[in-house]
Amino acid sequence: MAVTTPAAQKQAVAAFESLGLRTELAEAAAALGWKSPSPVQQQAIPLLIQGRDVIGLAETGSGKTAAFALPILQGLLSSDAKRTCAFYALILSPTRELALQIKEQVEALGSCIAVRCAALVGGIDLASQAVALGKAPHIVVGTPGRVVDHLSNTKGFSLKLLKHLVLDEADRLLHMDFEQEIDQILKVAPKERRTQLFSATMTSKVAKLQRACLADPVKVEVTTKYQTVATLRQQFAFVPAKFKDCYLAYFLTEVAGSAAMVFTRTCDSSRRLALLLRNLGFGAVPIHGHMSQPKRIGALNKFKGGERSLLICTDVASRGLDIPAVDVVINYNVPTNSKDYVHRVGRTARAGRSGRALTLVTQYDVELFQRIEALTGQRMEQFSAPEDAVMLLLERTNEAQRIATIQMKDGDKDKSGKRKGKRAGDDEDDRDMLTHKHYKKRY
Amino acid sequence: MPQEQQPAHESGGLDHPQAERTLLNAASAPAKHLDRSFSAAEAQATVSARETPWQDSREACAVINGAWQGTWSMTGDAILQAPSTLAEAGVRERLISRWHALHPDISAGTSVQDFASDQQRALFALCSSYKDILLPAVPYPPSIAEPGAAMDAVLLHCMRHIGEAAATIKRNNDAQKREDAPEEAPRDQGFTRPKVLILQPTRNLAQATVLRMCQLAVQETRKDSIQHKQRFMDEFGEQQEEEADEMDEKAAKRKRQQKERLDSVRHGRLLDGNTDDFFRIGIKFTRGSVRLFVDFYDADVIVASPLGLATLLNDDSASADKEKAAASGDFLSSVEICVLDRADMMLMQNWAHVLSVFGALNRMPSEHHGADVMRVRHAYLDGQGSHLRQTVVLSSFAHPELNALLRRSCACIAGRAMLQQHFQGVLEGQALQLRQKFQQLPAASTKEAADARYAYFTRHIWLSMKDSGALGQLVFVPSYFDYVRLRNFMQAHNVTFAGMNEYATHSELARGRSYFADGRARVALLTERCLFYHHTRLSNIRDLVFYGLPDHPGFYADLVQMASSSRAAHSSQQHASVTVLFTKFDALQLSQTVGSDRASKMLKNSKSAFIIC
Repeated sequence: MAVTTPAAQKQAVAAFESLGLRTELAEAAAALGWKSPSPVQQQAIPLLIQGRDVIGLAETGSGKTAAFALPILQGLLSSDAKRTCAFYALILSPTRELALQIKEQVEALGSCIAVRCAALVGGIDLASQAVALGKAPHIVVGTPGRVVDHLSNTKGFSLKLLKHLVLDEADRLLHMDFEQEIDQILKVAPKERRTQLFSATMTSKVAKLQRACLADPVKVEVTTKYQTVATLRQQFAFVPAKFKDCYLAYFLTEVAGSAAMVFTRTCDSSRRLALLLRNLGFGAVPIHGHMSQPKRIGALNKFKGGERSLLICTDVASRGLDIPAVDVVINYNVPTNSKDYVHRVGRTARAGRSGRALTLVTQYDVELFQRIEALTGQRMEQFSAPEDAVMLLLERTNEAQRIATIQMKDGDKDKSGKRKGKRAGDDEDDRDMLTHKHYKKRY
Repeated sequence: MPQEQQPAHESGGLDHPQAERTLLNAASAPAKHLDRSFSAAEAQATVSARETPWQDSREACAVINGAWQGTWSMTGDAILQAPSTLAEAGVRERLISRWHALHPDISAGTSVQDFASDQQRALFALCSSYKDILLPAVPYPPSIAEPGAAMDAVLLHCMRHIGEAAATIKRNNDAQKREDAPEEAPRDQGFTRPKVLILQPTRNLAQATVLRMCQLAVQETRKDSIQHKQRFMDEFGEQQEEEADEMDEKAAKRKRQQKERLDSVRHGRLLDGNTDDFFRIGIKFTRGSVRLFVDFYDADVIVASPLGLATLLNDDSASADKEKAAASGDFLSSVEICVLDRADMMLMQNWAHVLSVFGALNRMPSEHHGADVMRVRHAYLDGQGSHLRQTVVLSSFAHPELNALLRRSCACIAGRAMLQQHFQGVLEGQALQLRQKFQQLPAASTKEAADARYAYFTRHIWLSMKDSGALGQLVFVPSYFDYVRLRNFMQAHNVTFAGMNEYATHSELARGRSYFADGRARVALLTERCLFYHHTRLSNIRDLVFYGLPDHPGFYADLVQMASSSRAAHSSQQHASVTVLFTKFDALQLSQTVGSDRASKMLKNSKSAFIIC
């Protein structure tokens, strides 16, 4: 993927420069291995450099982060040297992992101009973040709750000098869940600022958009439909609810060796599924909102680093996360919100690669499933599993289920007992995947 | 939201407006030190640098080196000047006038100097360089009502540091309020308010220190100039005897005797008055008033005993939030000057507490304590706070622990300065010279040294002690750990011995002394701390064994004196002897005992036994 030859490098730099970007930034982008600007970058960057407010709508994995980050860095470069550039831009994201990922990307793009970046996310201690703020970072990336926390509690951090406000995954941020926090941030942010909204899916409700106080925004749409990438092979399997775990085990053996993300609806089921799959000998690691932040980051890194090949996650990991090597996305539950489907399957087949998505549909999910097909405008291909082959796994799966249930209970007991304050799921997350052997001996 | 911007510290400087006449010296010593920017590599270089003897042709060098019998060895930049007046040193007028009011013997203005002695002047110049300082040559005070001349100079330096810091913050607060204020906030603070930490071994010394600081800060014009002064005097002053006439005669007599004994020993004054070693107090200095007993996070200065702070830092049982915050030691995160007064006495307490306090200094805070993060100095944000801290250690004798503390736990970017003395030793001037045998034991490490001593004692010394069967055999053991080892050894061999250690009660000590004197106990074990705290005097000493050299060089002379006077009393006994065990790790104590020249010869010589008579 990376640009190797000097000529190709030069070409890439020129392509980015043609958008109006400074040479330093174009080189930084090329150094990350990008051959040419993606469509969303091509359309949004010139507008942003002109100083317009932009609503960016582009399919997953199409380089939205760079589309808003590069113009901010350009703004920093050209701003008056005498004026301080502390807290020049604020980038908000709905999940902690995404915020951390954006911070890393912005730092990578801005390393050549020594950009200082601070991440304000929940679950990490306030004091060290206050220290990071004290270093007068140019760009602050954060989740709304923690940003508001620092605004009210950390003396010296204010948005008075803010020039750019970016809402990534804007439809989520403008949703009711974040209403209070976003309102508070918008209240203290200066009126003369650029505001940008980016997402793969966008709410159409005007009222919601108005809350973001955009000034004469331009809408940049790369795709009109909520489209999934063409290189993605989308399948579904119609399975009886009773044997869902069994079918999942079968599919996972089918795709053995590839990195896969399994999406579940609740934190508890993600935890249970991870335990169950471990008991079956899969290297599965859960990630969900009931885990502490260090555990979440640890789990994500284990998956990213290839130490574990299965990530069992809730929708906390459905948006924005860029993990290059995800081959398969499995929807254990059909997502209730059809747009979530687009985000979920967007974790694979990123940046031009191919990928595979599989949705388990039970007899109760048919309607939800049809809604998704209507939204994406595509008919999925059916994946049929030979029933007798699946049923061979039944006995082992049932045993694993039973042990997982006991492990869940044990974990809960630990939680209420001596390990007070630890959150459910923490304890077994790190337990080696071989523990099931130990359990087998015991029961 | 941070709309309500309070001034960083609610009250400004110590100075009255008229004192502002003193030209604000932008490059005053504290500002120059604190605003210095340095890289991590530079900071690292200061830590690993070895100090070199300071010799150059400047006047400052002659003045500072000449003040003590010795040479300062330093790392970092040389000190360019040693001002002879405070005004020259850039100290504010107000503080100078307070200093003069306290020292009427120093004639103001007319004389060339503002200091009581050359030593004081030299020490103040050293302090102003912001180097870490080890001064192991502070004499015992004639009285503890006032700090000695050395501590006086250090306190003056501390008060100046606090005053300058407060003035800077106030000036910057005013500048920020102005219309044309720069957007970038000035970096003039630490994470937390306490800037100076003064460790004192006992309450009586702390009292003198605190009172002197108050006197330097304010003129006591109103009754509440110093808030909670009465409480302070009650808690830190001499404990009043309850109903003195009700105290039984025996106790009164003992008290009187102890007082007499105290008067007779050199360090006796240190043990006068309130010798409690568990205290901590926060002091806040504001314009025209001093507040004692403030919360540590509001304090400018913390005065504490190592024990008092260490117990706070190691408090695992802290349950309430406030206590937890205290246990984290965040209030030590931005200490800029740390003073150890009477470190020699802390060596007689628990040195581990000092180390645990140093371990907690200048750590990143675990919580945010309301400082304006945009005004916190970059060095603190980068976790380099320890390189801004100056440490001043005052002691009456040199000790390896003190050198180690300075080299390992202090890392000031300005470097360090340690006084290398040329010792005369304490052998001269003994009324009756005794034959003293110094036995060197081979040891590869300090850990081995302890075993080597024990082995030599049990295999050689003990055998001859047992064989001689004579009365009056005293074994002096510096450390309690060695004491326990020997005690167990004696018990295992069914020897009747008088055990005199720091944990023994008065009656136990008295019994031990009389048993030893009249021969019911042939052997006595005596620890250094017992000698320090109880001034035990023993008679009828025939053979004296130094299991190790005492930290106090004076104790060696005292014990040999006791032995020789015992011999004079029993002139019949002939083979009275003094045996001293030492290893190469005792070089410093050996130098202080026998003198530097003799010690270096002994350590270099291949012979293992030396006899001095």
